[in-house]
Amino acid sequence: MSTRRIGAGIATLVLAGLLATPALAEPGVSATTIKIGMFGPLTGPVSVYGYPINNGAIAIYNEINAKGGINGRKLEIVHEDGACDPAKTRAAVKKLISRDEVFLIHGGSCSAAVFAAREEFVEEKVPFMVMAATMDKISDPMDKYIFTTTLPGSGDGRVMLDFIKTIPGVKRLAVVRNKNEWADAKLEKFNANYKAAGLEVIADVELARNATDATTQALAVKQANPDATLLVTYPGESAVFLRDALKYGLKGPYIGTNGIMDVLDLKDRAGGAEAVKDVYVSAFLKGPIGSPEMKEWTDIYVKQFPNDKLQSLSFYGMSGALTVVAALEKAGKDLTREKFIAALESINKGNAGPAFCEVQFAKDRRQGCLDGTMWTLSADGNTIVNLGPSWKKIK
Amino acid sequence: MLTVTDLEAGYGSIKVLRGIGFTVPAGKVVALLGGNGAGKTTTMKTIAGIVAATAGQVEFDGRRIEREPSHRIFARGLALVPQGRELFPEMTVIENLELGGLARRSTTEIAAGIAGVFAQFPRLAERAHQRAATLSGGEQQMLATGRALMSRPKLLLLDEPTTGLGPLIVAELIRIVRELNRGGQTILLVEQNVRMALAVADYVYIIRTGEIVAESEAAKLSDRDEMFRSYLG
Amino acid sequence: MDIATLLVAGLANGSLYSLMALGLVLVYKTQDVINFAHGEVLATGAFLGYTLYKVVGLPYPIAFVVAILLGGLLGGLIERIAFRPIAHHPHITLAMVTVGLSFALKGALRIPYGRDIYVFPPLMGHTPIMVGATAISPQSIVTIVVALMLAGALFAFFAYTTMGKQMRATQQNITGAALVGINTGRIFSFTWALSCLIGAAAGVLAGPLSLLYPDMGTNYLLKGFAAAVLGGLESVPGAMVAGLIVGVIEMLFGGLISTAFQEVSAFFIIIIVLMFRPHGLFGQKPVHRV
Repeated sequence: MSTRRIGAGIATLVLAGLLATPALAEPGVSATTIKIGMFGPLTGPVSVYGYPINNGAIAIYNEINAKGGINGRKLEIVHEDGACDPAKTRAAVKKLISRDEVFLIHGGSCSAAVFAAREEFVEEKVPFMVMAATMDKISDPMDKYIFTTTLPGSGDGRVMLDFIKTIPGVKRLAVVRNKNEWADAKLEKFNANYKAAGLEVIADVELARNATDATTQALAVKQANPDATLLVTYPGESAVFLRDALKYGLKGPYIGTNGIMDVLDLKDRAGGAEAVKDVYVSAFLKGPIGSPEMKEWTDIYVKQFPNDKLQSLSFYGMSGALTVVAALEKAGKDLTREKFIAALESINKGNAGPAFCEVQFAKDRRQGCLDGTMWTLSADGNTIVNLGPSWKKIK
Repeated sequence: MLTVTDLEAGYGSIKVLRGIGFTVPAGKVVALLGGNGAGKTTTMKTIAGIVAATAGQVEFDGRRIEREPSHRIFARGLALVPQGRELFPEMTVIENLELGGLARRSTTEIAAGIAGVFAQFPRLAERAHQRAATLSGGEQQMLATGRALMSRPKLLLLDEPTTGLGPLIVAELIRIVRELNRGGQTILLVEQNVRMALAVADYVYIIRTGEIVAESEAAKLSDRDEMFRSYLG
Repeated sequence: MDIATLLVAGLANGSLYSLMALGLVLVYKTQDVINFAHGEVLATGAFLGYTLYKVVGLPYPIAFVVAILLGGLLGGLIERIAFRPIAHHPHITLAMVTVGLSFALKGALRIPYGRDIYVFPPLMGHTPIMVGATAISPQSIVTIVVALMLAGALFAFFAYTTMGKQMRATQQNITGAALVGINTGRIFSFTWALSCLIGAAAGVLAGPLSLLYPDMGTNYLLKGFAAAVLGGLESVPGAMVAGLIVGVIEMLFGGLISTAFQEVSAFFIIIIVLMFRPHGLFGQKPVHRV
């Protein structure tokens, strides 16, 4: 450490000793505000997903502020860009903690990037609510400071597996997947359990991120002739695969992760209802966009972001924001990080807003949402039908 | 036909021409003689518009051209056969010749032009469909000259045509330049080869470090002239 | 697995790589610069095509032609405004400017189109034509045919037109070109226009295969660049053939060996080829210029 930095450090300590009052010693908390750090992919190709996800959380926080805030304090959000890049995300988190001195951080939509920044929370003991990243390793094994209300990848895999078990006559599966941490997480529990369920994986095909062609993948699946195909790919590639699957005459059903639960969007991208008519996707929202279950949350989003296109992503960040708000309220006027953590741990059957689950944390539990459901398109292809956890024939 | 007055030019901060001046009367062959680095090639390139003039005038056919881009100067009827020949290596002899005429002549005239060049340079006719890169040095010089002639220029600039060529080819070039001049072609020739220059030129300027240091009718000079030699050294 | 199906799909993708490679090679031959913004040229073409076809509602062939002409115009303007003033700077400077241009074009596309993903409907539907066991997608046929027609037109242009000959002359010897009265500045503009016109055409054709977003060109730039290198960087027929080779290798590798290595297979083959033929399949050893 240079002498200058030591000098600056001493000066800061002296100033802090002179000026700070004990009640306001907690970083990011003032008499009138609570600073919440938020990060996500705000630049780069993945920013397409970053904005709507973060905006959903922002909408909740703004709504709370409009109602007077929490215990007399307004929520102040500080933004940093992680660009979906591990190094940049870690730097963003560092900045939020040390420069902006936020009280807690709510953010992160890219699994690998969030995982890379995990150490920062652990070391700095800053409460962290995961925004939408699904990788299990972020929250399991647990760390005292890291919470998530997003259904983790393993949970998604379990929801899909439970569903597949209920489809009559399905024994032999093909898996089409991205090669990344995201897909690995989704497949981890699935791979550990499918044999016990009497299933068999007869083809495992890889589709590159941002692929614009899935001819070889479609042909490989066709050749294997499975009873059903599991799609563990991002929305773009899922659309490309389904389009090419139709092109080369493949048969469903296709079971997709909650990454593609916006089946209507998938339909547009894949070029029409024909390509997605036999697609079933895991979902962690209460209902599709436009359904009565979603009205309250849709209204909140639209009020804050009237110009945004409404999509499933718009609701990903809300359960976390609602949980943060609930815990802040519970932690009371004398807000400290330790009290906030204790408040989170005491949440039981918490309101997850637009999410399908109820939030459940405990001293030894950091994954607050483990339930999911399955969606598919209606026969006319124009609306999403919520099937619940098991297979049903759509009229 | 060409009057150069107080011309200055250079590359970056290096000044190569320091106020050079000379004239080329219509129908004559004028030679600029000088040693390496005297500024001969720069003079040619500046006149042809490839190097920018920093001061002075170039008057060609009654017009000031020192500020014009090379393609416009060419269009006025001034064609340079550069020292490096600057052919199109992957194109055939015929294609090179065609391009020489494209900017100034109609396509029907071009065929006649090519026939004319082949008459002048029978060696080129034999190599009509060979790529320029495969020609010998002498043939390349002929092609470069032929290409320049394709535009039927009022003034032909020849920059060291004999560089790197054997005595037989030099003799051939002397014959060609004389023949062209007999046909009324005005020529400005730059040379280090004094014998070649004196064999064809009507008038000679001697250039040294960017300035004209002597001038004379060619007939009054001989290549054994000691004073003349010292200037070239 | 049906090899004929793989071949047709490979040729369709490959013909897009060929078009990208052609655009890169044209600019490289003339100005010794790799245009790193060429992926964004493709994206611009795709969005132009989308806007004219889906938003304005022009018939597809007219939308296609207008989009590629606008792409060409854009190329000419880029050269005139961004590159002409620095044409005599070192190549690295020009290359850096193309990198900047890539960001600028992406940013410009985000202004009207935002961050959404757009879908360009296929011209002929998704239902494949079955020839025996071979499934042929109509869009693949359209892509291959249009790409071949463009390539053919380009060859004819270079072989028979005055402008084409002057462009070739400028590529081979810029001083020589100036000496025979060719307006080399105009040739530069025209080269960029032609390169961007072909890039825009690749974009309109790629639209229904890919999805439309401002970053869509990155992958095509990579593959097109690989094809350009494989073809020898300075060879127009080389770029054309190498693009098809890259497309077919990818498909055969993915279909017959492993989908896991499909995306890198082409690069792998190229490294091997370049080990034995450092100047590419069609490139010549650098000749001493006369």
